[in-house]
Amino acid sequence: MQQKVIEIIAEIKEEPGLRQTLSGASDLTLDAALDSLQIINFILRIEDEFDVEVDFDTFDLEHLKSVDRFSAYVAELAVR
Amino acid sequence: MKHAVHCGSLESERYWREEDLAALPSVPDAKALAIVQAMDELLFVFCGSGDILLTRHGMDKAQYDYLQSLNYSFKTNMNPLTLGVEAPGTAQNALNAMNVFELLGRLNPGQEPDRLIPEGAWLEPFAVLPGTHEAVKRYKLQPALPDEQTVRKVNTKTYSAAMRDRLLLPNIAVVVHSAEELLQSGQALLEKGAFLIKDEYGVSGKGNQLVDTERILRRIAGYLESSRNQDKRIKFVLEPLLDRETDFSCQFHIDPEGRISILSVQQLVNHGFAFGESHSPEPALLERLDREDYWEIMHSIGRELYADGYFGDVCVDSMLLRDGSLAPLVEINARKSMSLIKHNVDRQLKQEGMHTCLLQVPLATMGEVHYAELLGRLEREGILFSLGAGEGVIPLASGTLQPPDPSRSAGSTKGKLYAALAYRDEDSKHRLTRKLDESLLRSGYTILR
Repeated sequence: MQQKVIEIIAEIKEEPGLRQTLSGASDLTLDAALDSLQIINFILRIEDEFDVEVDFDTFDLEHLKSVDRFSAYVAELAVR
Repeated sequence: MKHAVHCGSLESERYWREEDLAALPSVPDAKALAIVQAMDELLFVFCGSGDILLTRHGMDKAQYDYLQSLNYSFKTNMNPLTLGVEAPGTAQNALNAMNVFELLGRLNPGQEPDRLIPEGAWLEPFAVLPGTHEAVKRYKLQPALPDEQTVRKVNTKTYSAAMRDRLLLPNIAVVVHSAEELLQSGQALLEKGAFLIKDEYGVSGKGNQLVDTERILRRIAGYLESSRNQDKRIKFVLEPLLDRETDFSCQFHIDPEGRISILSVQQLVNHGFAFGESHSPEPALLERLDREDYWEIMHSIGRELYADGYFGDVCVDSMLLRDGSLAPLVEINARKSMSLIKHNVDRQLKQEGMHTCLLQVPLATMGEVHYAELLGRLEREGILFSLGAGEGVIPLASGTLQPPDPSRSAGSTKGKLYAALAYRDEDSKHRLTRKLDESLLRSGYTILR
């Protein structure tokens, strides 16, 4: 899942180079520099890819502290 | 001569938005809000000699001294405007939710603004917001401002869309009032390509949702029907995503008697839908606008706005499209704007043969950084603009680099540097931006790009 999340970030940012520079430890708002609009588009793409639904109203930006953390959050949504 | 008091909250749309309007999906980002709230320092560019600038957090002394060295001679508050509420939690949240006029209206008597604001001065707001007219009364300022409800109305996306019809301009907008209408109109639009859902008070970077698949369309429609939006009024503008080649905007002013003055055109380099950089227009763009009666369209928009009760500053967003056509009216912003800030920097500092641009650098900091150190470093590197130098970097705000962290959490703080660049040619621009980046890194900032 980690690699797919990174691919989607690179796609949203329109920066293919991010596929190489980002890792599981990368912060999505600092290292990937996703802004607020990009975060929404990123979440919508993730929902589409992993067939999950994020609750925007309770979504905590802490989930974006690392690719690994976000991947774990999505994996948890998927088994609900 | 009467002086002016310059003041405002640059996230105006946040305060115009009615609470009963349904909202598109968003994630609350208190750190981003803290940066925008600190942007009111940029309003110094509008100050004439002896004017007063009031800012939410107070300007860093080093920045104030630097601006004075550039012949900006205004007075300003050095301390934050606070209600004296120290308790964390709801009181602090309420403070953060107020715009600067609401804050001014609730200050205890005897604070810094009371000493700074001369009776009978003009108020020059960034935009007329809730609380602006109350602040005018409290500080006995001159009340030459349009009505707040008028300002709200003329800043909606539906007003901009209707204006195209009024001026017989091509109008690609569809207004929807229900999730069902969104699905119907959205599906029809998707057959031709991607489209945007625009919130009534959306701004670049927030409130414009790109829809390029049916799944996303259904997801947004579902969100509008969810409990979050229960009993809320649905009103959005749908527009096919324009294949833009050049973004630009026109700034003009409507005086209280209805006279319209075109002030400038600024070309924009956006990152996605968010502001990236603005610079003076290429001559070819201005020639094109002359040929296409663009200025007459701007005058017509000004006349219609005045007929509807608005006067003051206006920024109209426009586009040149890849198919060669011109979209003169993308959006009306009945307020001051970043492009007007850029224009005023030019008026004060631009010299013959020089180019200027206004840019932003997204930043993060892990520990405490000192703005004065950055200014000192820029000076030592020989890139800090001075009146004798002709070219260089002009930092436009001190407080945006490391705004107060609303969560008071440990870890990184997000900020932005807003700066103007004066440069002779593209080579010197690259040299300045490279040295600026190096100076930021050496002063303890991480650049987020």
